[in-house]
Amino acid sequence: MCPLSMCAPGERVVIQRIAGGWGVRRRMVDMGFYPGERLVVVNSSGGPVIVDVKGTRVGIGRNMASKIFVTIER
Amino acid sequence: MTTNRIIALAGNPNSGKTTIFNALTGSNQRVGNWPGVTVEKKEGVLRLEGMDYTVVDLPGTYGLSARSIDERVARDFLVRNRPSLVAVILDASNLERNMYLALQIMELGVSNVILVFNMMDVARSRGLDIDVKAMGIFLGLPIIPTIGNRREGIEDLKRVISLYMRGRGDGNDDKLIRKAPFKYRQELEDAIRQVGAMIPKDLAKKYPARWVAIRLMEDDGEYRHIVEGLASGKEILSKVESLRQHIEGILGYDVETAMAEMRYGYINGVVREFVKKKPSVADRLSMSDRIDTVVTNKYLGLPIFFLIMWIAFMLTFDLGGLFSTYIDSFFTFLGNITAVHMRPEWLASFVTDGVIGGVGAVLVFLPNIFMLFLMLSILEESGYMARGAFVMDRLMHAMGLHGKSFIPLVLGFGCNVPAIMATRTLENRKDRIITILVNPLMSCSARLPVYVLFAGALFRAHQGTVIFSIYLLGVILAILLARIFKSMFFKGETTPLVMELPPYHIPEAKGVFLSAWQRSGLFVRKAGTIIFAAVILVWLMASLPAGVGYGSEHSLIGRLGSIMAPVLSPAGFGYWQAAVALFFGILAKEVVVGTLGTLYHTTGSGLSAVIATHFTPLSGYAFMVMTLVYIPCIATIAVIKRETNSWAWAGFAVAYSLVLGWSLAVMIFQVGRMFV
Repeated sequence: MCPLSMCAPGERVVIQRIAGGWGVRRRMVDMGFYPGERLVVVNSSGGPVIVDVKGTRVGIGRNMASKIFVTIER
Repeated sequence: MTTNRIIALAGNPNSGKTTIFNALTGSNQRVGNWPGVTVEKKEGVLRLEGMDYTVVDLPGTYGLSARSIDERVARDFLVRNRPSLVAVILDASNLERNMYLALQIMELGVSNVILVFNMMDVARSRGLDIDVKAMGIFLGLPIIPTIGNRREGIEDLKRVISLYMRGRGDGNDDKLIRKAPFKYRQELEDAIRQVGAMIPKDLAKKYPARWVAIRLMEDDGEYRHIVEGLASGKEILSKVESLRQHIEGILGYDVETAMAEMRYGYINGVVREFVKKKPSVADRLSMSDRIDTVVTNKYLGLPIFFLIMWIAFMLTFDLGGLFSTYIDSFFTFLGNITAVHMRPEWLASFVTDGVIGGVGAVLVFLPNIFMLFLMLSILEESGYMARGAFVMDRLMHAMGLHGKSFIPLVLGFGCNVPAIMATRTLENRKDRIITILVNPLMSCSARLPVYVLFAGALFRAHQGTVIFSIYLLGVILAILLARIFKSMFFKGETTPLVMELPPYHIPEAKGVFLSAWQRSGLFVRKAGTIIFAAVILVWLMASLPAGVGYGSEHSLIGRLGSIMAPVLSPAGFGYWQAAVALFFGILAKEVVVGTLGTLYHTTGSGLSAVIATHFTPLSGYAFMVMTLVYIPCIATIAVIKRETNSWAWAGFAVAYSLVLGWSLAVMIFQVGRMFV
């Protein structure tokens, strides 16, 4: 398990845990992020992490991305 | 279900909800505020077969969890006003995300729900083939495919609305059997039923019992709070707690996650069943991704951002300036005619010095302002603006602001009033207040005429760069002050930055021009009203008392200015005209130029010449900085009060900007004098 901010572009990951208060997690769920959801890291070059979630591109600030813990699939 | 004549439009941001709203209501619209908050409320009238219905455009949201003002407003409206029909507008090219809100609205269960699959053309171009009919039958509600910006499907939508509002279902009554309404897994459904049964009647009248039960199971603090106040509150909450533990025991993880998973799982199933993906066109997305690799790159992101901004500014001034010359010669020509041929003399003076001098001096800058809004529209439409928020996020975070604050700040270059309203998308109140407070430092288009006039008169060769430096100074000040305010008033955590990034696309010329035109139309209206009034006031005060030379030091305005001028002389522009211009500039910043035009009775190139004799490049620059920073205009002060709901913050904004503006102007002049 590692923070999303450490994943490389092209990697397929599964969300394991989102750190933060109820409000933060709620907000993430509304945007489609919850444990068990699969993401593809599209871009991550030191700036925001851009992921593919449910077919759309969502940018996640580096700070938030370091609080999303994922496992890398293969 | 209720029966009234209210139809609510709900939907995610970027779903084209407003387009549908416009198509339904045409020009029968009213814009106001939602009660208690300052989120813009749009209402319109839809006339169908002789019946009038009220269509309410709810704020665009991703869910109903009442995390931001927008979400709370949307949920409260649905719960309290119980519209007969909720039309959920969905971006058909992105159903998996958009359906989440639809599902929550169905779950709330206070109204009939229909789905509008908008942007069908985009969905098709992405190779999506949606079996709308079968999906509607499966979900047990009508789905109307539309292409809002081409008005396709609007008539179908109206027909379905009419049928529903007349209580005839969707006209396909035989199919109205809910085939597979959404259900949680059995243990959860049992728990929800048990908790729901415990909800007392008077609360259930306000919020549907099932909804309250669901939210309690999700551990939603707001509903816990509501229930706590009930006589049976303790009992309900302890039941909820034991059920939650029981279910977590079975599932092995927390209930909230499980519930989110089930909702998305259901949506995923529906989408997989009824949407066929042709593997062909992922090109646009991959193209977009490739652009993003460069544009959001750690090292390239910021330079590219500033380069784009710089180009936008150059176009605004150089291209805009070209047209300004024509408008200028027109007003000069007009002024010459009225000055020579109009009688009596006071009327000639009024028209030439007052109206043409004042309003003309401002209107000359219409092309610049149009270009500025055009650039902003292009940045917004192309999808770059959202990326800008991310590129700026690191910088913003370092300065204690949220990346999302960037958008209101950029909008501030157009006009601070809508920009301050745009801070509503910020979920965190302290981020919001800080963004509001520093917003006036983002130099709005009304201040542009002052810079163009002074830079044109004093820095002819480098005017673009000089003006850019003023804008940059505003940005830097905003960032520094945000940092200071944050450490002064607010400390603590910031909210996460998570934003949808729509794929890049080339903006449609028509839409971009229309939007720029409408926004600069506001500027023209302002020139005709508040600026006009201010200019007349200035002219009157410059002509009175009777017998004084027009605009002389002995006129009313001259005396007023002479009192204020000494305060400004350490900044190098201790002229009474400058003092008066700044004073009236508080009404609207364009008035600074208008007042100078009226007082020196000349416009355009004539005015430039006068400026060049009164100001040195150094004192001119100090004056521009003063104009940038000192006191927001009246409209901005009013909107700060409204949005922060406090005169104290509005007063603070006025006070800090005045002190800061004056100090900077003095500092620039005094330090600069040692070198020049």
